[in-house]
Amino acid sequence: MFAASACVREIDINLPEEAQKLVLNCILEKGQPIRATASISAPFEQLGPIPYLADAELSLSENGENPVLMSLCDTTVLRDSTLQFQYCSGKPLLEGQYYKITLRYPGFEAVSGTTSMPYPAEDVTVEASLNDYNPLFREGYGLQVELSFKDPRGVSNYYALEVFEEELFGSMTRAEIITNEPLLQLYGNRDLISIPTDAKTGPTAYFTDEYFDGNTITLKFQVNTNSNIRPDTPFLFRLRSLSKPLFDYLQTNAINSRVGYNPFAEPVRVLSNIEGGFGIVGAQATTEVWIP
Amino acid sequence: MKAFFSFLLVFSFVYLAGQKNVLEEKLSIHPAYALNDFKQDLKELGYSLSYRQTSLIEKPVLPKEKQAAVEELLSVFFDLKAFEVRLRPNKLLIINRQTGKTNVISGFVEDVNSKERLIGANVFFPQFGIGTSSNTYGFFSIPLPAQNTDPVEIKVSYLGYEDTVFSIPSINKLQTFYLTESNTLLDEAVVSGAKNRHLSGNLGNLELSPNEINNMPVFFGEQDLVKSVQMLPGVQGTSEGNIGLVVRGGSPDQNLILLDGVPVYNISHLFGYFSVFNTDAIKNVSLTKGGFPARYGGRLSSIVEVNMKEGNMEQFHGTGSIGLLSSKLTLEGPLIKNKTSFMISGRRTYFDLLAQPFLNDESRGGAYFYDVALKVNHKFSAKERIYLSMYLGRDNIYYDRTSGEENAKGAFGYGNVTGVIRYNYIFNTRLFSNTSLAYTRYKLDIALEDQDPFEYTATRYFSDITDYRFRHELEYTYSSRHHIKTGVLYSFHQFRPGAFIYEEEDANNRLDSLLQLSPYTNTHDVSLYIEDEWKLNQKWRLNSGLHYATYFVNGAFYNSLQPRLIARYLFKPDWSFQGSYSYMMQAVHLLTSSGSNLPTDLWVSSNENIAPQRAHQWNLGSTKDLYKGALEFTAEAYYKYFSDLITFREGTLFRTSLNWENQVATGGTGNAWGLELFLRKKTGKTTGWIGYTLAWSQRRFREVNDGLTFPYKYDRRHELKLSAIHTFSKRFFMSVNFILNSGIRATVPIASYRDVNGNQEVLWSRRNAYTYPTYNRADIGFNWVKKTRWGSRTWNISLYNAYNRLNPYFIFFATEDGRRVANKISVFPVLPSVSYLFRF
Repeated sequence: MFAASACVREIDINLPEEAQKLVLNCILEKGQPIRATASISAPFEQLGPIPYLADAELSLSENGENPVLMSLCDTTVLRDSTLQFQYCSGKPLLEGQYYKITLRYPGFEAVSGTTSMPYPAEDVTVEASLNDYNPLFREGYGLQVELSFKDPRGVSNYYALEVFEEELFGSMTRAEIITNEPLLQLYGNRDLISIPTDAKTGPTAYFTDEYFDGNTITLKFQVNTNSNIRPDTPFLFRLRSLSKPLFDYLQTNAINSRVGYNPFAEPVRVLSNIEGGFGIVGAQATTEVWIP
Repeated sequence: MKAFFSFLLVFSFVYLAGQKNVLEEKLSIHPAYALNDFKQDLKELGYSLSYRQTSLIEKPVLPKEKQAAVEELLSVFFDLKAFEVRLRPNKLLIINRQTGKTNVISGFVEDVNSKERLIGANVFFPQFGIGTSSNTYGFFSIPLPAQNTDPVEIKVSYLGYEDTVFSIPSINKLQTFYLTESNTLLDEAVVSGAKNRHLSGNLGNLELSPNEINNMPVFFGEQDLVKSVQMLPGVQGTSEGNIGLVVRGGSPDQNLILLDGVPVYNISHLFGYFSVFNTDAIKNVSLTKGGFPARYGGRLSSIVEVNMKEGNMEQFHGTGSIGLLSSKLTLEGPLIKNKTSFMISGRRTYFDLLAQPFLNDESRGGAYFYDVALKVNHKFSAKERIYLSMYLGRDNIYYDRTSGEENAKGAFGYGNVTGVIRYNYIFNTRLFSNTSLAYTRYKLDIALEDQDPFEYTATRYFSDITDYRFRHELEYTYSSRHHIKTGVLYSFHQFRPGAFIYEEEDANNRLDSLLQLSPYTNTHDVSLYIEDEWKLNQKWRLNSGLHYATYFVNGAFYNSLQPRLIARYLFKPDWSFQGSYSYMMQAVHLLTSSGSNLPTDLWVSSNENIAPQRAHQWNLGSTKDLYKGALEFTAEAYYKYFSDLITFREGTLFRTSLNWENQVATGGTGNAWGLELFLRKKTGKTTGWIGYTLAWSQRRFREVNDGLTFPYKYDRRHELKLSAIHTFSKRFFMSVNFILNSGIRATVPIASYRDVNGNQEVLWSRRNAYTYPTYNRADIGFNWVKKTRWGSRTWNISLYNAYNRLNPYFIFFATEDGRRVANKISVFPVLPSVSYLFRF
């Protein structure tokens, strides 16, 4: 009855004004070339792909030293057919050092982002067993996993954990991490600690070392895939140690993507560390383990 | 322990024995024996003497004997004709007989026909310029300020009743004062006897009579109590047509809704479009939004007290209505004349029944709600009375669909059950007591089943909250200046935010079941209060008190000592000023994922990790009668500070209550302040009010909006309300409600940008940075009343949203014709309704 009486009308509303700003994105990783992109944000009303800038000026400085210009090095075609221009630097990256990237473009205020290089997790090992293994069909319904690692002592560490299943012909598919609420249960120097995290289920679990700083711990969780799992199905476990700004950015960005325009959830403003603009300059150290 | 009680018992006897004997103690006297000697002797007996100089006899004459009793010597030194002796522990008081022995006028205010006791009736003694009001049980007690044996005049008035002056003997005896309803058949819509706000001294308290509620325009043929309360200044609805309450910048869960003193946890029917209260069964509604006396606790923003009718003690009567959506019937009458009465009221919607002929056998479904209220009370004597009240209400939504060999069915039900036994006992003309035992439960139950030849699945989800409560209250009229209320409340709460059961049966008949139960959380709260209504003089009046609240949960203990103060200054007989301060604590929280009152909203308890919410509130205001009381103007400013608020974290999609603690941000603070103007016309052919509110409401959480302060969702800057009834004749009257207010706040998309993965994402504004378009709406009701042989009947035709304003329910963004556009959903265009009401 109420639904029948309801109606939808298009209306003009004055959205809060937000000036167009430069967007700088870059994730630094030891042993990998530095790649950054530059673009300009668009008004919400504007539709269509946002182009990347091919004529911007980007520079990189280490620990506040003289900046070095980055050069246009590569172009990727995105799914929406946009050309993504990448700016690179061959400067080697060192753990514990600070890096600052600055983006300049005519008509806009220069923007910059700063990050420090995180330390990777050490001694990462994975043990997994199949759930509800059916010997007749030689398959199970998901994995029970125990992932152990040593957390670097003395610094705050922020982690992202992802699991990938290798399918036929070598393609990789993200698997879903299912955890008992409130999330990951740990064994280490303490008994059974629960780590609160926002990504309770989903392709990536984000968590911090707040409760186990410097200790070796074991995470227990379940991995689900879209199909049954055979004992010889290869899985890749990727544990990334993130800089704090990257952790905040990825976490809020993931929630923002998940929530979309759902009217029953409060939207998320993605946390950015770009002064005067949007985007992220972050750093990560990745450790990967394959099973079996 | 036994020894301790034995000691206490013995000590008490010895102590009492000592008390009795002191007046009989013999003292040695001599011809020069003086007052100082007497005081010294009393001191040796362990007593001091307290007296006024005026009580002394100028030339005491001592008895000739060498010994005299204390009692005899008191009459030697003091004028015991004008003064009397009061014995206190270790003290003898010489008190003026005129103040110490005044007559106390006490009793009840009742309806002359039904003998229903009237709540909040004004009782005023013009010759002494003093007054009071009847309590929730119609009882009042007031000592006359001076010894008086002559008859006194007492003026009694009550909302919707004729003012009546009684001349009564000035004696210490319970008396009953009967009032006559003034507009049973619309002689003229007169709101006579509205609570004298100069006397009551609390601007934050407003009352609505059943007549005021019933005369307002209706929504789908249904009068609604909560929507009537929303018409008062400082009170907002949440979303269009919804019964959520937002009081002075507080959140909807910060309102304590009491039905005959029992909390009702979910006051919504049909997803919040109707409230659970059947207005035919209601006797009185009172809203306290500021200046909370010490007897109130447990919520931060308001107390809504709804009292059901007691039932006619003299004759059988009934009222009812037939509307588009529902019908209702209320019956009341004596079980034993003038001793026991009952009231039973029922209501059911029948849209589901009417729709049945239009549904095919393969697809059936519907939605309905019903509620039943029952009240029985028995008068043992003038001093003793017992009340039993019960309420049962439930919503059911169901479907049953069959397609070939597949069948899907589901049921969605929720409702409240409340019950309370209350026992009133009047010890004497000064001391009134009430003791109650209460039960309240809200339960939500969802059951879904799917079946095909290969598989059967069943899902069940339920959650509930249950309270058991004991309350004992005393009201003591100490003197004409002090009226003291004290009490204790114990509540046992049992929370089960959610339970989920899943069953699956496949072709091999293997049954899987998954059970996820959130554990029961049992909590205890004990609160104590004491308040004193202190009339300092004719100008100043104070209501001061302390409320001490404790809360025990999972080994954690929370407590707060909450001072309360309401001060009134009577500048002129028709003009008063008032200020108040309250501190409140609330240990329950409502988890809701939208502004609507959804049955899936969950009550959860504070626990070892989540502290109770707290709020301080300050109010300052003035009220003035204009045109000899025909108009009443009130202006009141308020400021509230909240702490330990909780809210859902950004991006939380509330799907399960099992880990709700991880989904909320805690430790929030808030501020709300504003100014309310209220002009009420109480007499004449046109009655009603205009209210305007200028308000701000803000929140701040460390984990939300980058830790910056943001406007609260219901931060409506301006609000104008008009509610009026115009009587054209004895048979026809019209009512109008009009609302104009600023829109609610929302977070909206403001830009697009490329993220680190190359995806195009939306950048959202700061929290609640956007204000919805202005909301306005007018409702009109026309009523034709006719007296019949058996009673009276009324035809009501109402137009909700009379000028068809399409107010936004919510705004969403879409892509149309290659551009992004904002769309609004409006739920209620103009909605006509007709209903037939009868009374016999």
